[in-house]
Amino acid sequence: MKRALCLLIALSWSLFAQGLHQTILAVADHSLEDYSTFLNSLTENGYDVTTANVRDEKSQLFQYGERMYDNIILLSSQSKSFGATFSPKAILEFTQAGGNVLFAAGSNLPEGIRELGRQLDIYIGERHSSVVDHFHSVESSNDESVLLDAVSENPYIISDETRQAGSIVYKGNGHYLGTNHRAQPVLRGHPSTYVYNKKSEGKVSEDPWAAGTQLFLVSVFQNDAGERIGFSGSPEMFTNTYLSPNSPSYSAANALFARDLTNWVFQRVAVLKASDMTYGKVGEPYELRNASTYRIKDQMVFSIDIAILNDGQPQPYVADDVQMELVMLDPYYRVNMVPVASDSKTYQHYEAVLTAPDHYGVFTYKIAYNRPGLNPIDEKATFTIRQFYHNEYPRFLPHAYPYYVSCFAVLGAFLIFCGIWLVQIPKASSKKQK
Amino acid sequence: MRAISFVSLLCLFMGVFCSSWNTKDGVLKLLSPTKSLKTGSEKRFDELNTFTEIDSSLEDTLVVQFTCAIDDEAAVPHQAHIVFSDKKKPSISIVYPVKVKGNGDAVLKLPLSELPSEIVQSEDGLLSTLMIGSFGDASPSSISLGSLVFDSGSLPAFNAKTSTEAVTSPQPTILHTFAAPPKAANKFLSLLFSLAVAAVFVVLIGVWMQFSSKTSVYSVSSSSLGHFLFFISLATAEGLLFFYWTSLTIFQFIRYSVFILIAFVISAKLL
Repeated sequence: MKRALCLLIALSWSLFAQGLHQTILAVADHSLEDYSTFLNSLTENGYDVTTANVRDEKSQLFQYGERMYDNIILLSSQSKSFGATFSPKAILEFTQAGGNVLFAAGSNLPEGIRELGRQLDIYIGERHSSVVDHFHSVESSNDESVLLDAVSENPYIISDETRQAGSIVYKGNGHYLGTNHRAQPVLRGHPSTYVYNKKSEGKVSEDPWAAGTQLFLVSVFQNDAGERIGFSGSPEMFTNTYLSPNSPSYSAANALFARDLTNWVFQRVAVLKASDMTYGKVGEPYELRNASTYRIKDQMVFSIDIAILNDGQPQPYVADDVQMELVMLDPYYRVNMVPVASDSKTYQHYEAVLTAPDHYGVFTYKIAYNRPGLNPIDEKATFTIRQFYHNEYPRFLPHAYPYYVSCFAVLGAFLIFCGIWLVQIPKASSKKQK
Repeated sequence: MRAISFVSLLCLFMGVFCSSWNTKDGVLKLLSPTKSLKTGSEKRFDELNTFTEIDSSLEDTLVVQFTCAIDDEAAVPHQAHIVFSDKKKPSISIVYPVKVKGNGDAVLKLPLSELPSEIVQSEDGLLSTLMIGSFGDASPSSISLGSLVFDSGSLPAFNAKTSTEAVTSPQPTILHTFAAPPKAANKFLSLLFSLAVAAVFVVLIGVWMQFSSKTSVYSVSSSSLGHFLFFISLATAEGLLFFYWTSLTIFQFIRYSVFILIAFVISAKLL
């Protein structure tokens, strides 16, 4: 009995621990030894890291239709192709299945990576392209190791600590972004930075792939379901050269940047969770909320709870720009929800009080919250708003007082007439009787 | 490699004596739509700085001519870019590479109408900078070409938010406008007419009393139980009608009516 109980407890604990643990598959087309500091830091951060070469048989994304890992890191420095396992289609399927991807490819990037970037509206420089800055470069690097400090100002992606840590050393390729709002830059170039093709523009750069502040070095992409993809044009920035404290070229800014980037891409931070979306009449008990039908002009209260996960721990997410909509074809209401004080330490309760519109029909209570750096919230609930029942209209109308009086007058007159008629004796017959 | 590094190190401390990129005979001018030089728009590079404002219009063409040189010796740099950036938001900028010939001569002819709409809306003007740099030991050079200032009245209307801002910022508030409540009756008139009807009722009773005293004699004591029961039933029926009108349902009304009907039948038998 005791043995069975211990086994049960151990099994439950392992299942619980597995739920917390995030798995990473790190694949590269070259040796991963030079990334040991980076991979060890992920392990210390609680990730379960599996390393493999891109051609290994064990480097699979799916098994029996199920995603094998939560996150993948793709590092490319020399291959022309990553094969079918890591084709753009396979990687996108992986993200659609709920996985996150961080890929880094430099000047010799595979065409598959460029194609994947195009699908994300990230237009990576051609093969043999390199980022150069003659004004902000590391000495004796032939201007190809660039010092950059224009990191994203979004506090959810890059922390203040990283922003104040100094310049980031970067050596690799660059890209520009299209108009897709889901793609955001994280690290951009100086006005003097540009990308040139080493083979065709070796003497003079006349038509740079991208230049200035519209040249981006690291960008991220988040789809509508909240899965994240990060792209860096420099696998070198994750190597021991810049991340290992024992290296002469160690850069604290690079280490902090790599930490922040992986935390965000692998959904360790800045993940919103919405729960307990309810609607009902003001004053109604909680158990009666979310009914199927309400009446026009009812005073209604709409609420939702939102938490933000940081390091997997939910905390209240407090903001003054959470909006709700009440929609029937077009929005009838779009108002800001007010954060309401509660005892909870894991979520923030939001409410909005509205009067139900005086149009009947099927309405949708909708919250679509999309902010840079946070995963989108898209919650909906549908209910009906009906007209007044016949006995819900005002019973007595001031217009009709004369009619009420005339009705009562008729009733009263008839009663009086009947009473008089019942007790009257005609005078002619009374004389006869005499 | 060591020698080159030493030279670079030396240049750090003796910047004045190290080679650097610069320009010769640099000129900036604006051409009007008729390709003639706009009066007062031609300026040499040494007359330009960050605070120099150049009045421009989107119909003008900007011409920048210069010769690249390393310490006054003509050379071809790897990078010769002109950067236009918003003074207040430096991250909004655009780069135009300048074609440099073999003898170092470079010219950029840019119709200002080709500048992106978003960048020309800048209220403080566009800061123009020429960046010249190349691989090697020569220090790069950044030369300010002043600010292009556009007359805000001549700019096309530009209201569009970027795709990202449109989706990721709060939307305008919408509040439903309810239909106006039905017009309320004039209560005074309503009461006045109610009184008029009530007055008619009083007049009717008065007329009845006048005629009835001439034609009949009234005796309550000579009434029978039947008369009494009938009168009570009638009063009860009218009362029930009133309550049906105010609060009872049809089913309740029918239920209570049965009892009154029985009373009516009994009173009819007695009469």
